[in-house]
Amino acid sequence: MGNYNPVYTRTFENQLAEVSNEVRNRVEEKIADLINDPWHNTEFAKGQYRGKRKLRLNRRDRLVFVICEECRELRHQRYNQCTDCAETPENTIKIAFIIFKHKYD
Amino acid sequence: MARTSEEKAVDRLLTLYLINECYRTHNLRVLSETKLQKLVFLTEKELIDTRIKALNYRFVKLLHPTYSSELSSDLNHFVRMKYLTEPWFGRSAKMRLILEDFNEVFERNHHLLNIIDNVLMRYANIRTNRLVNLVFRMTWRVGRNRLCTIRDLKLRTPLLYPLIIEKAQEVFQITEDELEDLEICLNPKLSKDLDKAFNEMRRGKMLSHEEVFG
Repeated sequence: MGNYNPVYTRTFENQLAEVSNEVRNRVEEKIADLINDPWHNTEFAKGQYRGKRKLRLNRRDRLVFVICEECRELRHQRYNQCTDCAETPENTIKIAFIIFKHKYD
Repeated sequence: MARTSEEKAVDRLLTLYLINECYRTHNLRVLSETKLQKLVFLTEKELIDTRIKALNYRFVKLLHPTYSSELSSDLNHFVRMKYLTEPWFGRSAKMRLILEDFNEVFERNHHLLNIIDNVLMRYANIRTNRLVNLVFRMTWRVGRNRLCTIRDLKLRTPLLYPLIIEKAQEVFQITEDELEDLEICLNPKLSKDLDKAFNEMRRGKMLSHEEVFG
């Protein structure tokens, strides 16, 4: 495990159950990189998704997540509004969703 | 041919811009769908006449008398996604967030937005029934030589359709990254799925790495 502790939504788990082992392994590899340096190659989403970051999985697909440490530092709690914020350790990364672009074209 | 996902995203952003300007600059208190259909139609016509590819709605002649089912569907999505409030397409906080975050895109396309602003300057404060009559009386070219008013056209006659890129002298400028962000915000299906995942995150119902990957 890297410096950060990833936790996942049920929706993410369901998405992962629907993809091939190859894609699943690629996502796991990307998450292994992410938890070492969650700022590398990631950027903030915009509009109503302020406070969330996205990571490029490949040319089209994106992983959407929140870094709890950053959320507190930048006072993004007003956007993210997690009810478990007080009990969540600083080094948590909340991984919410994979945008599989082809599903939404 | 259906609009591309890029065309849809740009249409939706510009429609939100136009609605915002109606309230912000022209102090309208309410906006009906009939009025919005006319304002978007007149704006798109002006853009196409100046060979600018930005709005891509298909309009046909109907009873009121110009109508785009794509625009109607986008307006419904905006209400469902809470960008606009009911009734009368009022502005929401969510709409302000997206317009703020894409301000750079608007600044880059200021020339094009000036055209939209000028159309609104001319038409936004005209009462809906007068605006409908004004559009009825507009002259329209039929075939190569014949001119008639929109009133005289048959129902369902196509009026506007997207300008093909080869014929455009100017195209709405947006980077791939901005387009991706825009699609994330304005794609109704994606937005619904993302909101579901973020609601789970908010409620704190999270799974560990071992639970997910074994």
